[in-house]
Amino acid sequence: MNGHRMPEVDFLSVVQIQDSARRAKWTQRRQPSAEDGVHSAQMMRRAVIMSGVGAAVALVLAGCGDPGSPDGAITDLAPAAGEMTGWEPRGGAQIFEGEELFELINGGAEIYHEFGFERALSSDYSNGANGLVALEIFEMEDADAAYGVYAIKSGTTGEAIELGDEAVLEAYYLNLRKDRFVVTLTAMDTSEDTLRGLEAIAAEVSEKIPGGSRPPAVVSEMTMGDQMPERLFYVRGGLALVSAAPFAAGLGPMMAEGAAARFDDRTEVMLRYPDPAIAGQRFDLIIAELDGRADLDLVEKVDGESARLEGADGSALRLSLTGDSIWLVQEHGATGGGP
Amino acid sequence: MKDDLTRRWFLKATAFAGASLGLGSSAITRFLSPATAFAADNPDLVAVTGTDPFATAMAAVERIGGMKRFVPAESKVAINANTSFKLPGSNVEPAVLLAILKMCQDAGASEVWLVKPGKAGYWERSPRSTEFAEVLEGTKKSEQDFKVVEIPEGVALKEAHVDRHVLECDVYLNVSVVKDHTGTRFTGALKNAMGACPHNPTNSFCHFGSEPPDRSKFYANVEHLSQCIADLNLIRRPDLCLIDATAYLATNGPAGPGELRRSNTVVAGIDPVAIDAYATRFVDLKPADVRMIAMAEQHGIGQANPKQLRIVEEA
Repeated sequence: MNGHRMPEVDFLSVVQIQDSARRAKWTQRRQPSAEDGVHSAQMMRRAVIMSGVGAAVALVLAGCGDPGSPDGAITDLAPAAGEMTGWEPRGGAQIFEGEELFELINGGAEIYHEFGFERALSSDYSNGANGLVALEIFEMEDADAAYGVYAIKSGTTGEAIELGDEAVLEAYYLNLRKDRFVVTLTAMDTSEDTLRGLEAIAAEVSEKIPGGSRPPAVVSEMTMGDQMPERLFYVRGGLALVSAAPFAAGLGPMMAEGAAARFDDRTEVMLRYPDPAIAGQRFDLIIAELDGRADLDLVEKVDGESARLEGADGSALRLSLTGDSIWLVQEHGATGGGP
Repeated sequence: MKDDLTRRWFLKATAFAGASLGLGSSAITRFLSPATAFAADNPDLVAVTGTDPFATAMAAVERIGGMKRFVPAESKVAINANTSFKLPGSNVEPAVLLAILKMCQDAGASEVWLVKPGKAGYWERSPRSTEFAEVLEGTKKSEQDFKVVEIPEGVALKEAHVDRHVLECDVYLNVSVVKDHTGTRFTGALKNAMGACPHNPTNSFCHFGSEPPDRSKFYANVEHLSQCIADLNLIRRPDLCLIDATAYLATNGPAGPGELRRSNTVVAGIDPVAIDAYATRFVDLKPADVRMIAMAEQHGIGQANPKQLRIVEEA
């Protein structure tokens, strides 16, 4: 599979076309905010800083007349032999396009496709001794898709570091997102030397990816309250929805996009539809579906506006319909009740 | 192994319904092969914890009756082991699989087939591979020849392409690693059945919900995927299931990277539903959280209620 190359296209043009198409489909969705996407209060602050930095970089690049995009191959983003002190690529890079992603991460590829996957690069780096770092670069359809995948892959236990638009270093791996790329580096051992190498390779890759992005607008809408969520998710399909909020499994049909926020005491989900009429139809169907679950009972409903269901464990689930969006708030009960 | 283990045995549940043990219904009896018809004094499920994965796997099989109980001399064995991934905690630990291969060969199997070819570099990850090079040389790798099998009782999946060795072997072993899964939340023995099928058309149908794949339905329906997995398990019940919980992904499964948890445990059982139900604890779930477990139980493939099983835990 080596040798697959990215089409020679103008990155910004592609993004603009995709954004136009998305806007036509989901009109008036974008309300960028400086207070976007995070996974904890600490990471929230980091993300806001990095979002600003990313946006500023993008603006500077645009102002310079530089398309701010890789119009070469995805292979250009991986450090080549001789570029890194002490670390060299081992065995060559593999490129996976479309469904070939199943060959790289069989069983784990679906979430990438759900968001919109273009291609991935996989390459190993060796320090000549026992240290080995696996690099994976995922090129997504757009920056929102990259955010969606990144949000699911990143946990709450890692350390936020200043790389790309957002990056988190975990015990033996690192995830970062920048523009429409998600980058994952995994140390195959946890020696200090390998972990240092992992960070150095990550920095090199991040440097090679031009541009930057903000979190999706729908995600920004989840952070407008006073309380910062522990985790934020962007959703484009059922798989991301169930990962973000297991209680919402199966509630995704017909949604255009959505977002979820996990707080200490509740999980909020917002499902956005192509138009208010569809949202209204789905509102009734979702209430009926939830009421049909063995562990939930409908206790209150105002047609076309709101509903409340209660679970045997003391948890409550509130729904409201606002224009083209349905909001679900799961209050965690005494026994947890949360995701 | 015996040096690694204290010899404390716990009979966790003694609601032991004679030889039935979840196998008494006619729906389940049909899955029984001579290799799985076992003596009543053997436990249904064994979980052994130890520091050495190779020795722990050997001990787990020994505690459930020994490999000879499942692998008669001169039998053909097919092993469906999860070796498809690359990152830590996403595969069956090579030393665990090595132990199983060795036990099969020592039991006198005429042929031992690995259904999955294994990710490049898989065996190199265990220093034991050199020590047991002869065992690896004596193991055959499937040619990836798939046969179409009808599943009349399947709810969502009516036919599947299945590796021919799974269908033709005398003894079928299902060897999985417990881990988180983006879609089904959990993967163990039941989900591992997909490892005996090709990506296209069977697994893609399970994932997408139609053939040819409908892109708009990508995993949109986890119920469908779960039902397909339950249906797939109607084809051939494993004679022995082993779940590797030595090191596994507690988050970001199935591919990782994610939280790498080490329980240093190998679980062995004859009932894929029961062993999955038991193993949900490793990823902080309950059996009821995993839809495919209930669906497989509904099919009569096994049963998830631990109170109906004789479980032995050894640490």
